[in-house]
Amino acid sequence: MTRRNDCKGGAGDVEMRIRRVAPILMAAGLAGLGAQQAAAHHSAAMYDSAKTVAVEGVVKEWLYQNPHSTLTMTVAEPGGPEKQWDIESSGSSVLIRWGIKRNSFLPGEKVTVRVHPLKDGRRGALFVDATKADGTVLARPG
Amino acid sequence: MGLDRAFRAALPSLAAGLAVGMALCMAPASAVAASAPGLQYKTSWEHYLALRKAAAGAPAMTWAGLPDWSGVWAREGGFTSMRFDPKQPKDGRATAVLTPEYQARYEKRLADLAKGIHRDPVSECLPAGYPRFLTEPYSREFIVRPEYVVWIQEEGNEVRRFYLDGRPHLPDDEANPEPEGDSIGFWNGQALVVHTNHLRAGIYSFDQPEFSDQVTTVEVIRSVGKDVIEDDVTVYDPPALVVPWHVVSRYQRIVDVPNIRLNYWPCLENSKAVFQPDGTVTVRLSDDEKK
Repeated sequence: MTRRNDCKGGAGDVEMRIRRVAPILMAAGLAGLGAQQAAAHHSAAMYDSAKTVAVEGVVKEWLYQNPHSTLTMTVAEPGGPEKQWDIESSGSSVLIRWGIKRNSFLPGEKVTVRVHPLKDGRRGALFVDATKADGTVLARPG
Repeated sequence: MGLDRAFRAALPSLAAGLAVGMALCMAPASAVAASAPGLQYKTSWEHYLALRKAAAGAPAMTWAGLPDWSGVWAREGGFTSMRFDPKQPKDGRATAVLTPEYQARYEKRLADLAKGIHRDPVSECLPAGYPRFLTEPYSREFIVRPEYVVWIQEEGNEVRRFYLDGRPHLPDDEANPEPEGDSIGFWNGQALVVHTNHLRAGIYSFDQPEFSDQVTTVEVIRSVGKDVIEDDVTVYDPPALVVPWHVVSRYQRIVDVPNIRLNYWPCLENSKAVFQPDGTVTVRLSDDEKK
C-alpha cells in the first residue's frame, strides 16, 4: 500500500501560482553535495546541481515512501495553462530523520520549494528545502 | 622497452609499497596496529584463523554477555560520506591500492560520471551487496543472539546473516555467489569476528572502485561507545587489490528520532529512474505517464 495524499477536486486544482525566482548560483561543490544527499539511491546527474530555483505552487500529492518521496505540485505559469511539477526527495526513512513527515505537505496548501531543476527543461526537480505559508522551513538539518 | 616493461610489471608492487609506506607514516600508532594484520596475511582465511587462534581462550558468548546493539543505526557521515573508506579525501581518489586493470576501470567510471553516465545496480533496484553494504547511508538494525547475528540494511531490504555456531562455510560446490555472501564467525569477548566469502562482483559505491567475485573479507565488529559500533574490515581481492584494503566504518545509534523504524524498500514500485541508450539517466515524470 502506498501512502498518497490525493486532492482531486480540492483547492490545489483551482488555485495555482508560480513564482520563479532567478536561479541562485551556489558553490558547485556544496550544490553537488546536496544533490547527492537527496538522491543517493540513483544518480542525480540529470538535475542541475549548480542551479537552485524557487517554485511556488499548490500541493497536489505528497508520496512519502522509500526509496524516494515525490511532491507533486500544480503551478501556474504566466500566460499559460497550469502545469504540474514532480519534485523528488529522499525516502521516508531519511526524511523522518530530518523531521519531514507524511503529513508535512497537505493537498491544497501553498508551498514554496527550492529545487535543483532537471537539465532537460522538463518540469521535474530535486528537492532542496521548502517553506510553508506559515513560514515553517522543511530541510535537511545542518 | 625492456626497462619499461619491467617497470610496468613492478608498478603494482611499487604502488603498494608506496601506499603502505605512506599509510604507515601518516597513520597514528593505533591505526597502524589495526592495519598490520591485513597486510601480513596472504589470504583472508589465514587472517581469520589467526584471529580465531588468538581468541581461543575466550569464554563462550552467553545471552547475558551480548552487547546492546538494539535500536536503529546509521553509518557515521550518512549521505555526506558515501565512500567505502571514510578517510578518503572529499575530492580525492579511493584509498584502495588497485591493480592496473581495476584502476583503469575506476578511472573510466569517474570519467563516465563526469559525463552523466551512471551505471549503478542500486539505481536499477538491484542489491548493493556486500562489502558495499557497509557504505550505504540508510537505516540499519541488528538482531543479536549468542550463536547467530543478523544485520539488516533498509536499502534493498538487504540482510547479512552471521553464523556463529561453529559451522564451516558452504562448500564451493554448494555455494551460489550471493550479494551478501556466506558469513561465519565467532565472538571474542563482545567483539564479533566475521569471515565472508562466496560474493558476487560489484562496486563499493557509484563513484568507487569495483570488486571482483573473488573478494573475501575479515571484519571485527564491536561497540566503541554507548551508541557507536565500529566495523574494522580488511578486504582481500587479488584481481582488484594489490594489497588488502583496510577500512574502519562507524555506525551511530539514532537516538534523537522518536518512533524510528526500518521501512520496506519498494524500489521497483517507486523508482522513477530511466536509463537512456547512451548510459545517462533521467527520471520519468507524472506528465510522461499520462502520454
